[in-house]
Amino acid sequence: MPAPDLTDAQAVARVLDGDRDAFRVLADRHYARCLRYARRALGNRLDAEDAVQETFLRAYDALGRYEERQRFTAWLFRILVNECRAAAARRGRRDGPLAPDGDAIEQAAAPAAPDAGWRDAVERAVAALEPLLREAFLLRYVEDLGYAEMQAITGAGTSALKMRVKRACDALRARLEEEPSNV
Amino acid sequence: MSDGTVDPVLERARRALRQEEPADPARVDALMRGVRARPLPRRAPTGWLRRRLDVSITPLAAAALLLVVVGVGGMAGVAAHRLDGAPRGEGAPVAGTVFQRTAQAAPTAANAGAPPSGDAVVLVHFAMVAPDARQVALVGDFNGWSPTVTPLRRAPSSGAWWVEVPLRAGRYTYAFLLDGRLWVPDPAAPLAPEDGFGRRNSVVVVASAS
Amino acid sequence: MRRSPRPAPSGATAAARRRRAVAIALALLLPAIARAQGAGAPPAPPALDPAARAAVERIVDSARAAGLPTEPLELKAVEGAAKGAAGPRVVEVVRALAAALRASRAALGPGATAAELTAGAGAIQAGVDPAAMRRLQSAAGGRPVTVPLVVLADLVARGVPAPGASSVLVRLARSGASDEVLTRLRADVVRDITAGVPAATALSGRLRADGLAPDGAPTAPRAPGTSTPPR
Repeated sequence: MPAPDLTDAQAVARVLDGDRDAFRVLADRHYARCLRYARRALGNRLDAEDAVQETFLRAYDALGRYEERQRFTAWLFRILVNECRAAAARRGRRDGPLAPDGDAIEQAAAPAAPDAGWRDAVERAVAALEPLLREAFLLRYVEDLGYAEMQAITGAGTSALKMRVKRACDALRARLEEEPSNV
Repeated sequence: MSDGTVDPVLERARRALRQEEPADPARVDALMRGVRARPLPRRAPTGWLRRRLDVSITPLAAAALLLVVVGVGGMAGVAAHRLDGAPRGEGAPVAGTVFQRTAQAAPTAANAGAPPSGDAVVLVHFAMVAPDARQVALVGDFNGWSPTVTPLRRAPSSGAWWVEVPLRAGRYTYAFLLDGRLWVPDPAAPLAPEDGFGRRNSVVVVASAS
Repeated sequence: MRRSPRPAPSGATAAARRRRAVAIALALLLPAIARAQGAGAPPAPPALDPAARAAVERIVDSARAAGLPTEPLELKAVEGAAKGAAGPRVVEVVRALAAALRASRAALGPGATAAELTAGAGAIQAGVDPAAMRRLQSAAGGRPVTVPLVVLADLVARGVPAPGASSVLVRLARSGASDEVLTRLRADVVRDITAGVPAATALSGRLRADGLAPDGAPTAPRAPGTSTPPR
């Protein structure tokens, strides 16, 4: 079992040398974060899980093209964001617009956490954003990516991305300021 | 927040959003089963030697913007030269300036005929004023600290020496070797920590925007 | 294809000749190295005695096992040999670098790139506090910290007190200062020090001259033609 404190680049190198199990280091390290993004990009956990699985498999196949100078997170997120976009497009053709109903039911059944009302409000507000605004907001404010990385990930220019982030923040702020659970 | 304003509502939302969903171990197990069933991914050809010594340059992808932090030695008035021998014009970058090379960077003599490798490379200009030296070499990480493979060329009728080296993104330490015996750091580049051998190196960072 | 009128050899054939010559030279100097990650083992230090070479390989192996980048260690050994250093000295220096890399990784975390880790090791060896490096990374909000660390190490190496330099760079990173801005700032500060400004005050002096508060925050609007502030 490879040492868990391998750097991302070291783990990649080990996989390329033939140690497939070393890929687990990368999966363990980055899975939760990818799921965090995908869940909001796609609106429900099931679709998110599929997208994240697909992302990691594609990343595995493409591992030979990862270059140490890039941050692995940013490289992985390019695959993830595109996978989420493709999944949303497929679902859009199938189901219609984003429908987080599955999760709403899940949350209603779960025991209420202290700030559950606020968290639900935030989730709804994010889900209500236009897809590109939501994407930019999540990458910038939740995943802490830089604009240069976001440009490489999304293909959009930096000023377009900044505009999207600003509009997303304005929309979220407007919605959340009226929220009763915003104490 | 990174964009400069601290909005309490958004900050509170961000904290809520940053809570990570724990990964389902069964899902990661399933992923690894999928991984084990697949052929090994193939490595792009970048062994140690080739990465350091490969001088092939490819045309940069249209979207790639490369930033270069260059240690350019010399005092004001040094005529820096391009690879084709023409002196740089007015407004030429001075010591320590950052270059932005766009996708339209011209192919050079060094990469003529080389097959595209898909790896982006930037030409970095190194220069040194040493009017009394008979030979000056650039020695560092990117050429395996060989004192012979990267000689500088002397600019005609001046004490300036220069060379352009293709580098991939990364951090490299280097120094100039004068007449095969005198190690000199690049006067205008950031200092590396003491080399441990009684001399001082310089640092060059080649960054990519992605 | 760009033609070069210069008398010095240029062109694809010269580059290929150079490559072949170096490859042959290294192959002749290189004993068989037992372990290598991936294609192409790094060359052994050409003039190191066998005991020193073996000691370096042991250090490299244990660094590899710890998940640290090994290339900087190998290159440091090659550098020592190229500079004619004695075997025991080279071993000592490689060992110190391995320790600095370890400390750098402890500060920057497992997600840091090799370039960041090496820059961090340089900063630590220059006297920067690893806790300050962690703050810098956090302030950079996901952007690579290679250049900020290189700039910080340089300023400290030239005599700017480490705590002050660290906190300025942290503030600049938080305000989104680009690598360009940091590079220009470094060059300006070094020019001032060379011109006789005491290192202890050179950084804050330059910040003031650029219209920034000592902690890097903008103060007054700048006159046209002066250097641009951080974003």
